[in-house]
Amino acid sequence: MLAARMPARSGSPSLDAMAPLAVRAALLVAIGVELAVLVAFVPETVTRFWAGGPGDFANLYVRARHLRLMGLYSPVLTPILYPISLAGLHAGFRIFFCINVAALMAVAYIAQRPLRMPEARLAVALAVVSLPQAQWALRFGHTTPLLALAMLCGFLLVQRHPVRGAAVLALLSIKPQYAVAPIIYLAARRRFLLIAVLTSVSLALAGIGFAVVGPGEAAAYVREALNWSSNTTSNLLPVQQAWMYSWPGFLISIGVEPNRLLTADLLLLSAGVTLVACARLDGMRAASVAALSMILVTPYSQFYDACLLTAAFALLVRARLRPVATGALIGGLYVAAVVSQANTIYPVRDVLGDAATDGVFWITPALLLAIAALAVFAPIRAGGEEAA
Amino acid sequence: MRAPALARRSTLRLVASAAVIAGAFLAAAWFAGTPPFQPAPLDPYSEAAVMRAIPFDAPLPYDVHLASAGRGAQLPYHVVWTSKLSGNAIGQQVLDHLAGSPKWQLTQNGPLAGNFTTHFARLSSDGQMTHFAELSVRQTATGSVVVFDFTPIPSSLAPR
Repeated sequence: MLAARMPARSGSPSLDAMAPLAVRAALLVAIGVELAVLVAFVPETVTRFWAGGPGDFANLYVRARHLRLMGLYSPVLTPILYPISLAGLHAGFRIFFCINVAALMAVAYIAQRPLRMPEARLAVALAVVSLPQAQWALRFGHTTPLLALAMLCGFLLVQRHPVRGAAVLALLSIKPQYAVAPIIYLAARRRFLLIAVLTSVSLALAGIGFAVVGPGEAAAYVREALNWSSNTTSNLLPVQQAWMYSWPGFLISIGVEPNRLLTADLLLLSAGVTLVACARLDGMRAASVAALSMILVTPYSQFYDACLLTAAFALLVRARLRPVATGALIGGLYVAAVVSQANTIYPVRDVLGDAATDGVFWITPALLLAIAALAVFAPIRAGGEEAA
Repeated sequence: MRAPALARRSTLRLVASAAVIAGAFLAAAWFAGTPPFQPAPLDPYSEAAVMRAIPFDAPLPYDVHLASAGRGAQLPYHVVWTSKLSGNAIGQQVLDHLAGSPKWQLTQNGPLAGNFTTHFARLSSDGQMTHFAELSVRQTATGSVVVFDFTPIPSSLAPR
């Protein structure tokens, strides 16, 4: 069984409890590998910051600067980014980059906090900071590092202060597809009041956004949100479809056409497995499952959004699993993420080319496997871990 | 255990830990071909790279021989072909190809005959421009020289 009942410092689970030579050696090897990944990615990230290269931030900037809707992002993102947009495109990118770096550092700090062994602390913190998708999110100027921090804080808060936690989780509605997993988590735990809180706060945030961009835009937003077209990826270039780590992209990566029905089946399967896992597990393990399912239960998740995995690492450390199981889960997912990034064709080679990858996106099945493993091998329903 | 022995053991442990980390770092970097084992970066404007970057449906003439390909001056990519055909025949082949490449459009109306320079735009199915190109044909004593300059849109997609 994965479950461990060995409490560490201040009741936190820890890798410390089991630290024979092999575990220490494995952690040192992990640190070496993570440093290699970090060295491979950080110079380009720093270069982009230095150049003020706006990446995808330019799309957010233009809309924020002109107080317009941000596509299917929550409208509240417009007033959030408006002050930054006043600094101009390049300076705004650099400001947002720094905010994202601070968010990523905060996730890394929170992730390693329950651990005592220096090797374990460093390995976990580096897993967060060096995750290639997190580096790409920084380079693009996307909101994902902030969403990862919001998700982590929300899931931690909801254990002891459920209403506040649900309110923080509502921040995930900035990218609405990432509010699905928290709702599954709360539904599995029959916290319907909290679902109402999450939904209400999300709507209130959207209301603030609509008040800024103009109430008339609400109809346009709903119309666009419901315009699923012939399929959810029909507005994407083939190369963009092949950047997704959600099921359509995985299917492309194994050479299968992302058929709508097949994708829907896999989405439902993922949602079902997540629901069962969240119902079987205690609060923190269920939260880990929900964090792991973020990419799986949405039809649209680009590779840089795997940055959300960093929050899952932090939650897994707190999930009171056996130390070796925690290490294996985080290590396995990290390797799957790195290999998937290596298989992702970005920068684009041929913008008009067919949807193709350089190999399988292992992270997608690895996430489902991790959730299933937790559901099967670590079921503890600890009563009262969430305050009423 | 005495203090010196303890200190020696701690130092040994520290050195061993650093060695394991360094070994794992070097092994991972060697395996992945990342720094410090990064191979020399490929030239994004090598002949092969430029030829790969040409959109597969570009309305080019058929009977040509590659002379050179590399970085362009006005537009990022630059390709030169030679042909034994006249400018008129080249122009006709371009028009034939254009008829089978619905995503490409001529952006000006001049005749494609003799010595000519014309411009094309490639539009995606949702009307967004993905490429812009300039085609120049200059007649020589032995045939023609065909020069094709192009850029992806936005031009930032072209390598620096």
